[in-house]
Amino acid sequence: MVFAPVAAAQEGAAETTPSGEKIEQIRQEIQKKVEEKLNNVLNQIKKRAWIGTIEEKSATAIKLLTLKEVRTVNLAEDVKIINLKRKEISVDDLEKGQRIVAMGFVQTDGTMEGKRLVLLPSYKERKTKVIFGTITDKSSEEKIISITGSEEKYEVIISDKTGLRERKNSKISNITYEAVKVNQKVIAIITPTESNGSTYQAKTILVLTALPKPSAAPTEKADEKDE
Amino acid sequence: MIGVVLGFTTTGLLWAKKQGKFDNINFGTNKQDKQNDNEEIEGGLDATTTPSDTESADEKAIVLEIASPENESISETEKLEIRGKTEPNATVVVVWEEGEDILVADITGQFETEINLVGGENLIEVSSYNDEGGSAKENLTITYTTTKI
Repeated sequence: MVFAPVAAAQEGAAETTPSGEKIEQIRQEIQKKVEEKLNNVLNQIKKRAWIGTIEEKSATAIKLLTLKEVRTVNLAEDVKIINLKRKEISVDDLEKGQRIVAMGFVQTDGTMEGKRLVLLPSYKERKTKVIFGTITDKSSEEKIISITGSEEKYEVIISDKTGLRERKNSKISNITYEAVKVNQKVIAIITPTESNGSTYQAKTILVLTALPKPSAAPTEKADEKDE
Repeated sequence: MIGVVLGFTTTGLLWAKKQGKFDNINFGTNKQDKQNDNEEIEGGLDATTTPSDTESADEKAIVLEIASPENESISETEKLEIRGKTEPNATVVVVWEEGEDILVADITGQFETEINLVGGENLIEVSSYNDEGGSAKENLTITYTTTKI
């Protein structure tokens, strides 16, 4: 009598086994889909573009010399390789020393699964410079100033296209050439002139106006107000 | 009982330390280790700066961290937001392929601006300056493509 309900329960359990298997199957399918979705999300996070020159190549991988190090790009089966004329080429057409951008997914071992490779033109060093310095000279005849930085002195031409600005507190406002004075600290964005490598064209000059130091004596503040 | 055992153990350890029983055992806090730690910190600029692209003028490095975008990432849109953190109220200069911008970090050092990318390779330079001439620079390489990878 005691065991009858137990036996009945066991029989009931035997009847539910097939549905238990079905539940397990559904569970596994859901888990698989979740993993796929998660992988897609992670792949988006790890999608990268490496720029460098080809050091070595094989039918399935290339070694890319970037600014930092040599990296391995394993070519995906469906990889697309595009040349400078925007035509699709094969890995056989790639040559050592060519500059490319390899786009794909970075793997946990630090290699990339390369999905798309595009040839790039030769590297051109950017000529625009950002300098921090002090105005040490200002021409009275032409709009040329001298800016002395920590290591170098720059002759800078100011044209109508130059943005002249001043920073006071946290605000930046436009100023005129007349407001630019010797001994001012500046940040300048400059490019070398085509004709003469020793002079520069100013794109932007930002004058850093020194903030007045707070006065300790209250009476001085009253005097300033009167003025 | 446990308390008694712990008490005796602690007392014993303190006594042994006082007697110099542990002098020959290296816990990693001796002078040589401290000196090595200091050298690592000085040689590597400050620990809060992001890696190897950081440069300084006059050895007066300041903090500059780029929160977005990640270096070597791919952008599917022409417009790109640059966000980061540097010294409070520092002047930040951003130079990209076809433009430049000068902005001021806020009181917490946060800054952000939006730039326009060109198709393909984009080199973006972000530099930060304080009034004393301290500076830092970060270079980012971002690839703009509308092709689905």
